[in-house]
Amino acid sequence: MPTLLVTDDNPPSLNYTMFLLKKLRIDVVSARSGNDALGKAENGSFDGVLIDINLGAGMSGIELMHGLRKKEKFRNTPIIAVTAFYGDLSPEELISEGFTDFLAKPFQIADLKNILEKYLPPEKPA
Amino acid sequence: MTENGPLTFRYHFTFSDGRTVSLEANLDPQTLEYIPPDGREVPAWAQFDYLPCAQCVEKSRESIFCPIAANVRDVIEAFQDVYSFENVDVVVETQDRLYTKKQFPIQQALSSFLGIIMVSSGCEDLDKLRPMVKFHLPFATFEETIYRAASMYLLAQYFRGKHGMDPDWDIQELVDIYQRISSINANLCKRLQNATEKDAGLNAVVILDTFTKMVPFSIEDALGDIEHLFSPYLP
Repeated sequence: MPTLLVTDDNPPSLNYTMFLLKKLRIDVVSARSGNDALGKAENGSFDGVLIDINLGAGMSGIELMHGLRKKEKFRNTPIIAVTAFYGDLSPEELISEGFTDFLAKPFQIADLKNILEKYLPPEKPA
Repeated sequence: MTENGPLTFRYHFTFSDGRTVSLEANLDPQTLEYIPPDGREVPAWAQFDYLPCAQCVEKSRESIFCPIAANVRDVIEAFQDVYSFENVDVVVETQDRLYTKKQFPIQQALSSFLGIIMVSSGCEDLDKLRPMVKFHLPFATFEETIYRAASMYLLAQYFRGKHGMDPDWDIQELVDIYQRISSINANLCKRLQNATEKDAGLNAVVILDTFTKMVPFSIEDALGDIEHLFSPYLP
């Protein structure tokens, strides 16, 4: 079963994403902030990462992605930006920054499944 | 609410820098329809033709503006320069009591207020949730939302039966209602993409939508989880 690191500062959004990933039979390690995510990234092994762009608590989602990319084990890991609002960066610019892809909120389970199937190993998710 | 006055909900927000913003929603006490402030221009993103929902297009509904978008515009504009991750102190004032939250995410507080407006704006699908607004519960959890929605819906079936209509005791139609509302939420989010400089208002709708989307998935399990509480009524 694949394992994802999911970072979102908002509890309802995080719970919703975790709820859907459970339905898709994907293990989740959740983080509420960039620092929390970096700590969990250090100690875990992940098949992919979902990051909400507008994180509170100091570190933005883009900064978190850069922090992960600096680690050898995340250099080629799919890191997907999740956001309702792109702010100053378009989806294409997010990819140029280093994200693998992006997923617009609000998303349905089919949207999540489709994007994960693109990047997780072929037999995953179930 | 005075005897003949509107049903009023007031949300008072205090930001960490001391700035305060207050919002007020007034509803007709009989119909629970939102009473918009007078004399407001409707922005382009709230025009009906800007991004009409599939439901309105299918029914060839014609209107000058989307009633939900037109009514939430004051909230969106008041918070257009606020990021979703900011925390605020919130006081919610209803006729009967005050609710408070300290250092609460602004997006969650706004979603609570937007929920009042959205179900009372006259959208045919969201109208089905309108009875709940009479007993609005600020900052409701998902468990509380499920309980309130199921209770409201089953009471509606009781009234349908009294009026000689077929009641839906299996709660099938409630799932359909929430699925239709989810598509309306998604459309509203698209409208708001071009209406705001920062994301507090937009993410407030996204939060409402997470609740909306989870109901069809989980209502049976969620009700199963609380069934034992009803043991005094069960064999």
